[in-house]
Amino acid sequence: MPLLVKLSTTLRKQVPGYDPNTGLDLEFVPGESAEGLIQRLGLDPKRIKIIMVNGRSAALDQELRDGDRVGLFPPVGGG
Amino acid sequence: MPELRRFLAPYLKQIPLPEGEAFYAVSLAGLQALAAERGGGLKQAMLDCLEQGIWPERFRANRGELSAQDQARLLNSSAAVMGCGGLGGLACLLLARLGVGELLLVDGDSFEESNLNRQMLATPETLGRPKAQVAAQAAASLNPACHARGEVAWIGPDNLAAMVAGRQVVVDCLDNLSARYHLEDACRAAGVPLVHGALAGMEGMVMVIPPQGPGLRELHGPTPPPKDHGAEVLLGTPTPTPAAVASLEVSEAMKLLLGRPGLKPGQLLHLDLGAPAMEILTLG
Repeated sequence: MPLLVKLSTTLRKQVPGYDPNTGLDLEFVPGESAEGLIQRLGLDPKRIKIIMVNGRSAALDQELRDGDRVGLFPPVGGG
Repeated sequence: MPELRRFLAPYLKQIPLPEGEAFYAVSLAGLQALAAERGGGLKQAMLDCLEQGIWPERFRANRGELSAQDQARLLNSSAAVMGCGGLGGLACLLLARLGVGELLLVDGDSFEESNLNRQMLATPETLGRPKAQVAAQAAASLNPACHARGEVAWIGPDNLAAMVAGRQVVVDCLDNLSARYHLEDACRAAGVPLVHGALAGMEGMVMVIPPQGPGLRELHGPTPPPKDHGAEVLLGTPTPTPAAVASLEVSEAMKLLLGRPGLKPGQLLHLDLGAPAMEILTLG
């Protein structure tokens, strides 16, 4: 099963063709960490503050599993 | 007939319910007459009526979701709203309409033209006026039983303790993470629950931060990210998003005031008006 990746706010504009309704289906790479996935997407890990794997927060070094749902969020502070 | 109902008779309306039941609602004129008779003020008149199951007309449509005891509890509650712009400008109006009895509204800024797209209290007439002062006037004028005080001040570690002390809930309607971290620290020190809300573009986040429990550091790291890293810098704060996030914040604040279950510690409500979608994420 592929990984399902959902991007938030500014990250959506950094991945060409991203559709917020469907997210991205990406090939599962055994042994890849959340950070590895972020780099594969061409995003800067320093600008990502919240990583959610299957709805729970995760660290950059968390190893991903087949079929994981990954949400990536930059800081959001506006009011 | 109890004495209160006899006194209020000219001002009472019987509201029928399904299956032959009914309840009484009292008009503002009746509450004012009662306040004049007993000398306790409008809020006390409302409390006296609610105790007898008589609903002030202005709160009648809250009935059903709220009990008379719930409504009285809100009238006896005190909340602070930090920031009176996009989020806070609506949050303070909703809290006043909800019937929260005491509101402290804090903002150091004044309205400017670029606020007009989203900030409820920004109008061509209020441009240049301090947001906190406009907010307090608006809340008091919406609900004269609400004691609303505006404080024109920029918040920081030096002045927050006095602002949050004694509140039952604080609503975070600020516009930058650095100030939000200070607010969270002050609320933890005072033992007051904080409702956090933030937005960028068409997305928003809401979290309830209890005095002990996960908060902004679990969300964004040990130190606040620089202001220019916030997604709102690029995506702006368009018209619909602050209203949606403020409404969710007030809903969580109401549940805290009433002792009802709401968002649990460590749960992050993520709202995406673009999709649209709403999901609950879990920290830790």
